[in-house]
Amino acid sequence: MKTKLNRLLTLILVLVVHISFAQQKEITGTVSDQNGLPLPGVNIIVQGTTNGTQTDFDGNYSIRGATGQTLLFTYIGQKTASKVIGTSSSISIQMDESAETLDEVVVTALGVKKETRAVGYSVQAVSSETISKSNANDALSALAGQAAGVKITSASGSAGAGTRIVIRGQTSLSGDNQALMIVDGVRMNNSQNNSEGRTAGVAGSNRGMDINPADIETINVLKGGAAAALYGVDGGNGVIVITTKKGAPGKLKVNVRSNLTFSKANKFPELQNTFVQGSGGVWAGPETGTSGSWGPDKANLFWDGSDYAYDNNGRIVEGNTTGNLTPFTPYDVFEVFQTGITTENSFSISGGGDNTTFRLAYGKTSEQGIVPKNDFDRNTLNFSGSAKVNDKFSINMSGTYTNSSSYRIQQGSNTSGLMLGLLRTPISFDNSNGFANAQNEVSSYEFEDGSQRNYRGGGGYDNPYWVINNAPYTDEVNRFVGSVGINYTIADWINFSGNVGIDTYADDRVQFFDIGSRTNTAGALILDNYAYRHTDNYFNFNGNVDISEDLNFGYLLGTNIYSEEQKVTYVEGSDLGIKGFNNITNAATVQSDYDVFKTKNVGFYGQLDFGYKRMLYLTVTGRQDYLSTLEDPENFSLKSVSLFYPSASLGFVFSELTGTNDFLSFGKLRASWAQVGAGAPSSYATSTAYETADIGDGWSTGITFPFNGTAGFQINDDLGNNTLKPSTVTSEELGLDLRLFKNRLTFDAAYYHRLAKDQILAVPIAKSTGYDSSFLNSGELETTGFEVTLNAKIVDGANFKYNLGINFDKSETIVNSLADGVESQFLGGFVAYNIPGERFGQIYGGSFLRDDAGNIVIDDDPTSGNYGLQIADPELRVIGDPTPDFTFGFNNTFTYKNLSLNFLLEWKQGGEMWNGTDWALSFFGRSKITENRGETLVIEGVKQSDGSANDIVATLDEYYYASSGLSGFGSVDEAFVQSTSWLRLRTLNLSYDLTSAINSDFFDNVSLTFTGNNLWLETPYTGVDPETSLTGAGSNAQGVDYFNNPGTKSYGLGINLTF
Amino acid sequence: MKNILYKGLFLSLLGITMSCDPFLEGTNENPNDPTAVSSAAILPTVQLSLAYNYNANFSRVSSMWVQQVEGLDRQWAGFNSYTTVASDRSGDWSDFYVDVIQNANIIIEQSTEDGYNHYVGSAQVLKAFSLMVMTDYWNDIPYTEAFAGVENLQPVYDSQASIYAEVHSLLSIARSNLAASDGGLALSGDLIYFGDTSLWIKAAHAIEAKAYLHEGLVSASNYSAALTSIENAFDSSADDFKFAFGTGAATASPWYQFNRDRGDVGFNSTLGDVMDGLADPRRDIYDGNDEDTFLIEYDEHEFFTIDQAVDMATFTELMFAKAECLLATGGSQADISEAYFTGIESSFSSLSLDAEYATYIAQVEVSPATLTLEDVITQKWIALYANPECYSDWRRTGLPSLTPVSGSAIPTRFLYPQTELDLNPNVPSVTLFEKVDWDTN
Repeated sequence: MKTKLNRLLTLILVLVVHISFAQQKEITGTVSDQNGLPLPGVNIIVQGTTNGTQTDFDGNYSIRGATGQTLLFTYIGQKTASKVIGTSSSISIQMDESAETLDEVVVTALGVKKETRAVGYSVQAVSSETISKSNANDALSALAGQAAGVKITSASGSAGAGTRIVIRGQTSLSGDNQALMIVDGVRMNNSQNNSEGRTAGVAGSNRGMDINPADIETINVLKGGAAAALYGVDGGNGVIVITTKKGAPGKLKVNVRSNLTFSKANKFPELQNTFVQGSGGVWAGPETGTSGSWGPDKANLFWDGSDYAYDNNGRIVEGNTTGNLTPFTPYDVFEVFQTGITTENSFSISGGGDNTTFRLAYGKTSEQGIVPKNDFDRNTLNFSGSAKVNDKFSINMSGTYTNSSSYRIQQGSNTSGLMLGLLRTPISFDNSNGFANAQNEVSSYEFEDGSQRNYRGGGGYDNPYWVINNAPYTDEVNRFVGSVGINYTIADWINFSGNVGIDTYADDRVQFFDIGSRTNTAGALILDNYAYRHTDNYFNFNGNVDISEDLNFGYLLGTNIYSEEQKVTYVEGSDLGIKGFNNITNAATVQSDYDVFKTKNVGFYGQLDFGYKRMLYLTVTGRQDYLSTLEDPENFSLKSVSLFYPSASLGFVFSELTGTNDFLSFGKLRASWAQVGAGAPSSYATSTAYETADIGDGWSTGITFPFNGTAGFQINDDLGNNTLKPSTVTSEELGLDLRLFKNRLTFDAAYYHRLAKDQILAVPIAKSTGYDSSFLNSGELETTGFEVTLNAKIVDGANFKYNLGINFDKSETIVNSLADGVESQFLGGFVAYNIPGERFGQIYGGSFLRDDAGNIVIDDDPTSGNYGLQIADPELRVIGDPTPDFTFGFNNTFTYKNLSLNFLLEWKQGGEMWNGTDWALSFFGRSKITENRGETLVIEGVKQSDGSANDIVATLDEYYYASSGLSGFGSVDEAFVQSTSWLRLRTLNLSYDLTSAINSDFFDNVSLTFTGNNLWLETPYTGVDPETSLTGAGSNAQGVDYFNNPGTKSYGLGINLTF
Repeated sequence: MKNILYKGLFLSLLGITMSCDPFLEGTNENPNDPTAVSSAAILPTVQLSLAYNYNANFSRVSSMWVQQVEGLDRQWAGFNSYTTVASDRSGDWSDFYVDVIQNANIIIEQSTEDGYNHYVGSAQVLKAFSLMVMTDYWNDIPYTEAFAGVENLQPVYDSQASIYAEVHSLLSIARSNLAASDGGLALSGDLIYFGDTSLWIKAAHAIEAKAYLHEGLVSASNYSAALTSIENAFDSSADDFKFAFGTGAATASPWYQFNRDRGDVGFNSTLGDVMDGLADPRRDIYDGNDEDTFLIEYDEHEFFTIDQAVDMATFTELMFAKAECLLATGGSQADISEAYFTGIESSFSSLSLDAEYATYIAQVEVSPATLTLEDVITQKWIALYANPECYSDWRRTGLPSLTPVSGSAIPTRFLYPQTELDLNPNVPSVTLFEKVDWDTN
């Protein structure tokens, strides 16, 4: 059988292997690192001879030697180890990390570990230490500023808000552009399920949040196409490969980590603090329902002390009419914000014997947001273990159970949005009604009769405290992610491994609007349940062979079977019976929906690695995918190669040729090419089903079946397309990897180009086809980028060290085309569009009319209400671009003896955002820009009638800001597009290692840390922290701010004990 | 042990490979929406969609342009003075191509396969009517290459003559299908005739009569053909091809909904003045509040009631058509006059004004010694209030004589929709003042 198998594989591989050995005893074994992970590429020589070998991908080796000789194990980044050959023919060792760790091993696709030098594409590793220093609650946030080309966006500063990760720009016009997430070799779902329109609702979590950062050993970012090519159709957006911490043989280790963090809003929108509620310069109280702050200047205002339901100080009067009135002082609308407190506690116990290892960890994070009652709790229980059954067979597993729950606050564009009601509140209205603890005091936001107490006399928008208490959105997630792997060494050149993973969760949500909500006056309740499950299985044969002393060969052949299912239950109840009862039985009208979405994917792949003289490395990969979401019958044929995804990468270690010296320690050029997939069709997009008919004419409500009890169905007017295929992403990458001055300076640069074709777009089609729209493969995206990573040990003394790391990233994605006849693609968030010929996700909206020379045209018709003012251009155009020109991360680490100071400065140059908050607040007279009301000026421009320079004196007044159509709520968005360039102190971390000071046998490590996040931010943006996303982490519409909740700055203290 | 393991591993990999097909198969079958629906559940959609939309934009714009109603506010003030752009028509094509005809095609296809002839026939009648409406407003329209989805994203346009040929063909086949056996499944889900196939056959004749009448200027023989069709069509108003809406807000008629939700249209004094001149008692029913838009007291409008039964082909209109055809073919004054008065009487009767009829026709203006085409069309124009047929009549006959609200001409067709201009390069270039092929007037 063995021979047969050999023959077969030989045939498959088209490779003839001759291996011959000298007449000595054969020693075999496995080399692992300090964490028990196998180390490939370890050099092993018999001391005093030229007899040497290397470990394979799984750390296995075999070498000939005689009893009494010494084996030397060397590996960059590990302390050199030696073992004398005894009577046993098996020698397995665990190497220790040397102080000079250079992260020489990276985890590549499918969990294959490779020497950095052998990799022909860009992979960036982020260590557990870095993750820990970021003090981030979720793994993705920890990557912010750490890896070049990786863009992290926190949707908002709310507790539990999602984080978006995009690697090297966008590959898909309408699909998800976020990286694939792999944990311990299997996929982990990172979607953000949206219960409602994305511009409203709450800041939801992305599911990548369910992993505890304290359980992560490393995060390897596979950026380019070649790096991700083994993931085939899912590789287009890059891959985040997370490896969790494992136990190691030896002493039982206990680690306790505890952090206490305080957070505050780091930036509020700029408001005017001079004018009170009213219009035309005259005060109007809440009972009038007046929406704007166009009342008088506060300077000469007094409270009359009268009995007044809306203010304990009474009504506002101009002048101290009686001589003993209390001068008016503005209320602070931001007093609703509090100091948030986050506690994070992790406990782990790990260890192992000769053949087994384990690690058990529990983590609890409790986050109290900066908005009262907003919280996020997460409990994680993580277990991993490995057992070596015999020399050939080992088994390992890891699993995490996560329970997370949150109480979220309505935000964004909805009349219950917290900031919407809050920022519009005039300085003359106290949302808290004088209570210091207003969130727990019903009379701050409700009158005795239960009606709402807000600044528009019950109309308009919800009082922030009302929202906090009466419109809660709660959710709870229970999740298990785990995998079991086996490894069997069939022969020294062939190894079998299997990895079976499962990810399943239930996400239960309850969204409540009590009776009296400004969004749902009669009250509403939405129950949402997402039951998700996927299995992700890999079966591989791999091995490597030294064909000759100079030529090494490695291979991998395998299959991946992926199956996903999501069940969504949606129940919406309205017309609530009694106030305050948050249960579906309280709803008079109930509508419900239930949907099941299934997808499956089978992939076959192979990888061949050639290494020549440790100088030239060539890797070729190929993957053939079969997708359930395609209809093409060819798809199911094994002969079909329609979804074949190849890649090739080459690494040339030229320092092997030039030799190393004091200047050049290492030098490598790399080049790669790959074709991967992106944006596979979603479930059921290939067929057209029937739906309940909905009849209308666009002018009236219309009629929805059933009509008087008769059912009516119609074919879906969005036509399924059975010729759909995934879009294809072709990428090329060139890179240079240099280590200079005895490794004190490392430099890595990458240039890449990527073309994503055949985008899947919902495209309007001519009605005469019988349908309104269809999914078509059309449209093209092109990305070019350049990124540099530099690491310098500037001072490297015995006691004092200064290390500087720099990340630089410049990239852009251009929308080359959409579909025929499609001039723009709306992405969401009011103004985010894709426009052919422009960068991805432009801000597209109204601008001022200009003449051919670019001068603003001024209305000089004396009868016009807008006499002397600008004119709105009736055509929409591109008015802003969220893509930054470049970003820099400066990571500084100073170490003095046991004290270490680390800070990460981030500089983002360029990138714009539509400040919709300011646009709306200008209408209401609350924006800072309206403080100059009454100012007269001649607006620069030319007159419409004759093109002469404008000389008409205009007044910037209530009319201009609220009614001219040129400012607040007007059709001109241009004036509200602002730069989001920033310089921020992303993290500051001071840690003190007390281990030697304590000098106890009991403790292995004791350290104290102080961590700060976002402690300093410098930006011209006048709204909240511009690292924000109205439409959330999962959306392609970025660069939109419309009453988003503010971001946070935080500082915390932590203690870490290991014993 | 080793061998077994090898075998096991290898065979499992092979097994996975071989079982790929069944593993994927069926996964992409949509469990959330039905992929097949019986014709009885699609027929109501086709009927309601046709009735609603025929009495929405077609009715409102046509009756505005023949000055029965007047657009007074917002966009409708613009439409009233012929300010209309291609995108105003995109919804109409979505309604007729996507909602009505596409679903009628599905009924015809699946019921033909099953041999359920009555479903086939009724869907063919609905389809023929829809095609006729389309070509009456847009002349050339895609048909032979239409309804092919992504197989043909840019269907060519067929001539009006070929569309009319298809209308006649469909109506003729429909009648034989409706006269045949039901194939084991009786017609249900029929919100127009509630399964009465004899009425469907009459309706097919009535629609064909309208078609011949529209084509009258193309060939005089069409007037005689129309007379034959009329003889085979309705016996009284009880047979009318109409759709009755419901009394609930969610089942309300299109005009009622428009007046309630939008209300930018009111009664037109052009029609009002003519009716005043005849002391026409129907005016009170038509004019709503007679001042502003119908938004005011929309709930009290006596014509555009919440449960209005909207007309698509009626006995009343056929009587006026008969009078016109008799005039065109040299029929006797007695026959012409009989048809003419039957039409007026039927109109009065359908508005429960039977008692006023005698007084009304006693006027010499209503009963001249010799009936002319102008008398017939004027009375038809009064009787068919807000009925799109009046716009065809005006285009064919130039009657009643109307003064353009703005400019020197009243539009004689609809613009092609913006979606077609954007997405189908085969669309002909037209203006509002070009005429459809049958309009040689």
